[in-house]
Amino acid sequence: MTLQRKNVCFSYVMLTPLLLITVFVLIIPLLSAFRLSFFQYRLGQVDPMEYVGTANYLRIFRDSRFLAAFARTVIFMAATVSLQMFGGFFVALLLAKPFPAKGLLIAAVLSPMAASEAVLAVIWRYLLNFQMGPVNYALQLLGMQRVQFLTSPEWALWSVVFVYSWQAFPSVFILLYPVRLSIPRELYEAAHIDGSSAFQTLRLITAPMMRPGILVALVFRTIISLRTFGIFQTLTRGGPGRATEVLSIFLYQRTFAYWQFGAGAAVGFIMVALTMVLASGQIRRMHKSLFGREAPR
Amino acid sequence: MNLRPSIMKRSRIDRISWADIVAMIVVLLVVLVPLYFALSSAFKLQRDIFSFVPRILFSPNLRNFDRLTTNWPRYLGSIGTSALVTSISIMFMLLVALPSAYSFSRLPVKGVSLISFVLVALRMFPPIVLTIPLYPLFRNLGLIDTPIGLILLYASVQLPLIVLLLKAFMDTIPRELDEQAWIDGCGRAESFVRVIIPVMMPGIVAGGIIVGTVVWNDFLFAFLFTGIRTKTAPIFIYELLSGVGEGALSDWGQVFAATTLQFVPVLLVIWVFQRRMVSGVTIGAVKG
Repeated sequence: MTLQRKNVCFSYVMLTPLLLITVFVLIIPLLSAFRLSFFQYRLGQVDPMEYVGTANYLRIFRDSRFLAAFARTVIFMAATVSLQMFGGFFVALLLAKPFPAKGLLIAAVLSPMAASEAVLAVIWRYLLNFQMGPVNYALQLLGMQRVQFLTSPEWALWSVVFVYSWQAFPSVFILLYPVRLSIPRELYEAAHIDGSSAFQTLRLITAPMMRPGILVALVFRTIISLRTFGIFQTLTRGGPGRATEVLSIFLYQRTFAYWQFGAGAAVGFIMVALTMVLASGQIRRMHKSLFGREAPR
Repeated sequence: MNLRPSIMKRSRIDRISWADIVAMIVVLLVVLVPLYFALSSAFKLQRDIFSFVPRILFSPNLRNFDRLTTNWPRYLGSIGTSALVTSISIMFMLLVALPSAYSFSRLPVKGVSLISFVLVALRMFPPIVLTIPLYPLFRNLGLIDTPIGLILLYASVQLPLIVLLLKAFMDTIPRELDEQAWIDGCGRAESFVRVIIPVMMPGIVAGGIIVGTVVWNDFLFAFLFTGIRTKTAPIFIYELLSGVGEGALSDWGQVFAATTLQFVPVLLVIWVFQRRMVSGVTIGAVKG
């Protein structure tokens, strides 16, 4: 066996475990979920699955409950992604300044990332509690009305937006902070000599230089906000009423409360399709930057 | 002559204004005040948790932890389950991901571009979709409510992320390093184990922490695929929280004690390894 062939064999051996797991636990189940979305299937039914064509999709698109969940998801995504992006970008610029004890400051800012959805729910169900929560106490001190943050239909979705953004903005920070630091300081010095104002510097130097990084963060945060499930289930379970029933909660209820796996799969594939549309540019860019060239020699 | 203006320029750019300091304080308050309330409440008496005027200062005690372990002896078991599932998942992922990252980085085979494209796409899809086909399958295989079932789920779903991260990290290691060892009579496999793995340690730690945090904190899969036997800590906390009402009389003390035990380990890891994490995320920007 030549050296070349030996290397090829070795490479395939190294890849085999990854390929086996990817094919059997990810790709085949995904394809079977896609297939399932064209069948009527309840878990535990004795009869064979019944092929129904696009009926699951058609029924969903006529279901006002689905359409409302879809609209809520869009509102949730738009609101939380804006908040996260603004917060992460703002803190990235702020921490680029020469603060002392920067390691400690960064550690503090990253802290919310450590909170699981269950922990988040405990913290914020306590803080936002109607009768005894510290937030409502503060509102009262300021002479304002107490607010039923998580238990009134008008406020619940916005409360989840806030809690989720609080937890997620460090993920934006962690992506944008190194991008901000990579901007050569000569640019800022030159801008300073030219008498550029802070806003002009932001508009003409910082923002354009950070554009690719901002785009990466924007795509990631959008597709992850789309699929968010845990924080809704732990904070409000889609309630009160259906005030926070987003697509993932709708999918969960179809599938695991009504056992309608066909309908659940159809909702799932609508989510996959949305994700792939939003992320297709990112997938191509990421693939090119990771695999477009060889490792540096 | 030349030096002075340049020093002045620097000092102007590097200056922190009062507005910056105020902004930084606001950011720290927004982040730390909720955490302070959560962590301190674990050490408060019930009446101080829901006192009409929120208590900032109080004398800490461990009664909530005592009550938690007395009333809910199984909670410590669920922390153990979480630790077991997390550590085995990390090891399993690395065992699969490191060799494939090597193959991608050093010996790209035919079809690598298709495989890697599928991998990047799989890194993006929503995991909740997988629960639909895998639930009936796992039920038939008897994998529901077992640690093995959970580990298999976590390892598979996180695999694309960790492979891409390790591949990107490996690309930054000069090829001369392992090729020299290889030419010096080391086999490919030996140079991988003896040369690449040690140099990769920072990347392995960063990747391990990123996926480990996801697994330790996961709600979705643990919620849907486990029952009484393999309950992980987040699910236990969720059930405790469902048990307490919204009112002031409910026993929030032990919920906060449980929360602290689940939350503080991750918090410490993130604080200690924050530099590693930032660089790990930056390399290839593969985290989401």
